[in-house]
Amino acid sequence: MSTYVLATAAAITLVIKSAGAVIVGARALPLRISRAIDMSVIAVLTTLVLTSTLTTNTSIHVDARLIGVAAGAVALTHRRSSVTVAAVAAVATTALVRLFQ
Amino acid sequence: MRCLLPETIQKRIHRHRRSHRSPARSRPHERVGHQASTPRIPTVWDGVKRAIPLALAVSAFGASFGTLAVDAGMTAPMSILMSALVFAGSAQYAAVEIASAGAGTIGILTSVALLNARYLPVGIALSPAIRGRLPSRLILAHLVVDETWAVSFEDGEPQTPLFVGSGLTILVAWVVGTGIGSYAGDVIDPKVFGFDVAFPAVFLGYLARRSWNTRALLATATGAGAFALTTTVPAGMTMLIAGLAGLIVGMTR
Repeated sequence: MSTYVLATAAAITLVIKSAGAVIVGARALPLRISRAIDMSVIAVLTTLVLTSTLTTNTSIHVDARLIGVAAGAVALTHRRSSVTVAAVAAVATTALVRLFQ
Repeated sequence: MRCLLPETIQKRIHRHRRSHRSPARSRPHERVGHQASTPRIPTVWDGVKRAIPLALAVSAFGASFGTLAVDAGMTAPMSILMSALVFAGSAQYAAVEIASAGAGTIGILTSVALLNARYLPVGIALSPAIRGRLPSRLILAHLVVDETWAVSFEDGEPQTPLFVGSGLTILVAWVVGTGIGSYAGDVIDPKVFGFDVAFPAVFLGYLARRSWNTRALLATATGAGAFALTTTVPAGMTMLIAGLAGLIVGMTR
């Protein structure tokens, strides 16, 4: 990959990442627009959770990851447990399942 | 790091430090202000602490990316430079894989744009935390990634100190990880240690902790629906579809 391609990839990424900060900035958006952005992020994050739990490349695979994320979800049901605790539970469970597979 | 912080953030941090000054050292009129209960303003260090569990996983994946990039023919300094300047994991993986498969410039850049398209709504959601003059905003916008979105919100609003602290932590972890992988090879396989599930677990955690209503549930359902298209559309398209569907859910009365 040439320096030119790398620099262009960096520029494209920065344009996408900064569009919100440059165009919108700290201005308060109309309620409907900010709600739409919020819902869009929820939808994207849901897809991201499912994709990183259940896919390998572009095919669906059910494996140790699902058990690990389920363990994280169980940890989250306890009010006092933090997101960090959930992440540790998920990682440890996945590693254990893979160890005994 | 100080030079990266816009003036507004520095003022907030300064205010926070003043409000936590020891009462014995405070002047009488300040003591009155101190007694009034003010909500605790998160600090940059809070953002660092929130990002540390993710940073461990990010550095392991950085090492994995560095190894992949060098195997695909990139030099180690180029792969480190790519991690520092592009700072977008999935797009970097795709770009290197596509380049090693012989794709041209247009193909590489198209995949980068598609895989990063989700950062448009994420960047808008984080925009209240990205303040200052244009150069400052551009520098801070570089820190917009899924992980910073996941940990930067407090009381429904993105907080600049959390965003800056978590963003710098994740960036350093990603670049250092890439450096280790580029020079030393795949020293830690993130999948053996289960690090690959740290991301869905943390994202799930922050989704679970937010406030929910029927519309938010509907947005989740559209995200799941977009995921169902995984096997039929190119990589990255599912998230773009999810983002657009979520926008429609939010715009509908």
